[in-house]
Amino acid sequence: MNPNSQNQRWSLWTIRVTPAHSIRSDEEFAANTARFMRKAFGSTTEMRVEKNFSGSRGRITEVFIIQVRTEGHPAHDPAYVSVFAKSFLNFFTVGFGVGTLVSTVAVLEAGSAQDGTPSAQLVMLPGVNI
Amino acid sequence: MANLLYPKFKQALLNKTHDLDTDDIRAVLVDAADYTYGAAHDFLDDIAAGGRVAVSTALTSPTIVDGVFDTADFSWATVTGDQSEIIALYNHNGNGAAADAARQLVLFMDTGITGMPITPNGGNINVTVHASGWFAL
Repeated sequence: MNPNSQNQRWSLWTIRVTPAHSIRSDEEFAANTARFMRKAFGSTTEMRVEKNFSGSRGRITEVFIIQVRTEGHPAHDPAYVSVFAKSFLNFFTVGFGVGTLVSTVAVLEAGSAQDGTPSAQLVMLPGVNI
Repeated sequence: MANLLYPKFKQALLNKTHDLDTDDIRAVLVDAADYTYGAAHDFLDDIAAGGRVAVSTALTSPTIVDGVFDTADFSWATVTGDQSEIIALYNHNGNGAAADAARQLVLFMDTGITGMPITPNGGNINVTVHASGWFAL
């Protein structure tokens, strides 16, 4: 895989979900999210889910942070990102109830932003065990 | 070659010269046409200035957990220059270093890097650090 080949566009999407109600197990959350993201982004995608805790709303709440690295999506287009952000909000609201907070940030990592600037390039490092 | 820690860094580490989560650790993009790894290499001046295609600012969010050194992802901004094949880490200010001749080389990487070799095009080069960190001792 060469993320810097011509006409490829790689992006990193970070979706932060603060559930209104904790009614799902972590395993169910990860499985359902993986299915949804596969439909949304397609197969040229890797996903990572982290669970943290936040002190918002005057109490300790769960926060899921989903990171999706994918190819082919115009993350530099605010309208495109907005459509995805709305679909994520709908999906997680169905799962966690009204009041669920969802924020979506998309960053173009490799490829042209179509703004006249040179294309961004991406390097992914391996882990090194000494 | 391979991905490895510089032996002189290991020696310095054992002599408690470095504190990787508080020192200013930087990454340099290197043209293999201008630099060949050497086990005796110890400081940044072993990499000729002409071979350093891009140098990062201080890597952010450095952590050491269970022997794993990790940082946040980073970018080299508006990079121009030769095709590059190597990424090296060095300690910019460890042990009071104020010159390249005292800035310890830490890590050499030229293998298994997705997106390398890379030919800079004047844009940013975004670097994703592995989920399991830079290296594990």
